[in-house]
Amino acid sequence: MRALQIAGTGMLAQQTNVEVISNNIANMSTTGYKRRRAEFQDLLYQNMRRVGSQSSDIGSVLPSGAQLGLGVKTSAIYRISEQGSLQQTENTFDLAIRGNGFFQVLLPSGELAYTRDGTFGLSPEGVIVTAEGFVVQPGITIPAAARDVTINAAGEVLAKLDGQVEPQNVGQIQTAIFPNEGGLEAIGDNLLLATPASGQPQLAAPGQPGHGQLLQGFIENSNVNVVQEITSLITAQRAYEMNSKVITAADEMLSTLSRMR
Amino acid sequence: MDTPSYVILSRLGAQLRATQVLAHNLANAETPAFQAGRPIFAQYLQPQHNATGGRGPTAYVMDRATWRDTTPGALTTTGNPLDVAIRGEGYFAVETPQGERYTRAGRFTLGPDGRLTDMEGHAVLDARGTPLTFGPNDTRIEIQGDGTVRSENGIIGQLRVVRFEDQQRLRAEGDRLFASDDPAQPVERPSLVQGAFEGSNVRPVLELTNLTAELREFQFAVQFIEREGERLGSAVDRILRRRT
Repeated sequence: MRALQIAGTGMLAQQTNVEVISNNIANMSTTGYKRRRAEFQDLLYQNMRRVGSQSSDIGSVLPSGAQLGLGVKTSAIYRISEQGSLQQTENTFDLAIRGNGFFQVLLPSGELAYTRDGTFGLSPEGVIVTAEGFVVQPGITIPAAARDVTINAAGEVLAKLDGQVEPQNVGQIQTAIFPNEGGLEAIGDNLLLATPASGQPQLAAPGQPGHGQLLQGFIENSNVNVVQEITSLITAQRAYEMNSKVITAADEMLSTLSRMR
Repeated sequence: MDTPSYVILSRLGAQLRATQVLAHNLANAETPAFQAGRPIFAQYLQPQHNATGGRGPTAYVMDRATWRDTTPGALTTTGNPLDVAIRGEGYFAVETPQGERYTRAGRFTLGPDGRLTDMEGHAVLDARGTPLTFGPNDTRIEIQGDGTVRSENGIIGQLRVVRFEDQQRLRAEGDRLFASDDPAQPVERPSLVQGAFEGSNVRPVLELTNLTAELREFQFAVQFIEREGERLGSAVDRILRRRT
């Protein structure tokens, strides 16, 4: 009774779907979060009668074969890198990217990670760091005498020092773009790692071709659309139920058989 | 003498297959561009050799084929520039290690080398039969209604959209791919929609109704076998009683 296993694969797939949706809803107010979507594919087929095989010795051919499918599998869970809405915070070191690009962050392990979460701050030494305290690349130190810091759309960090009229350029924030953003590997804490699938990062100043511009005093909200998630949740739940109906029916058939006198 | 039981037994076997096809449809109710399968049953005629007069042959049931419902599924908009749906007939062509394969699930992504690929990493082919490749500076990808792919740096190519004389002869291979033994013919004027994909064409209501019907038919068949068994038993009983 393969219908049992097939419906089982269907229930498993829908369970994954619900897990992905619940992760999206849980992260609906995570800065820079990109919603995920589970993607399904049909499993391989069993050919009971092959399409196009000969049905007689005079060369007549089966117009369509008998193919039995074996269920469904989750093929991918991918991020939808649509821009999230921007929210004003008035915080000097809150940066949002309008358009493509990621901030580059140096992890304690020495690896480089990428993030869209621009809630930055200053370390005790005056270096621009993420909320976790990791240095935003390239390390930019704000002089202690700075009174006012402006970060413009092109990523130039301009500090107005005490006693000076002209603001001083103390560094340049760079953003990275990838040939395939979907290939980045999420490691939590809003951080992503480059993989062979994502391709090599290309660093440039914000506003360069392909790179989005920076906005100071803004953060990018998550791009989770709650209404959409709830509707997908309902669909997933119903699909789960329907697969369980198939299991019940298959089970009933089996019990009918076993009760047969 | 026990022919009725065998006839109804062929029905039971067919019914189990039908349930399997149905379970596969429901399991794939969320698979993009999935085409629901339907079993086709046919008579299998067995001549009666010991017929005592003008009786016709006995008809057994067998599942002859599975037929695919090729009605397009509903479009879902995602806004993702690499999601493409085909309006009307046609299939996209992708390159697999086994050769060219066809799919209607236009959920594409970019490979590490800038190639347009499907979710399994198979390269999507353009009208000339070569993989479509984007340069690192192509960030705004636009796919026009006729399949022309362009970015801010100009035209990159045209998606290969093909059709087949008989879609039923396509062989489903899983992973949303179809194989064909017949040559594919390019569609002259494809009609594509960017930012949307085609959903599964499984209609759950229909499948569930069929499921209930199949379950009852199965139970009737089993009941029939039971009655038939009882009838045989009582016949034997009666014959034995007459002897004594």
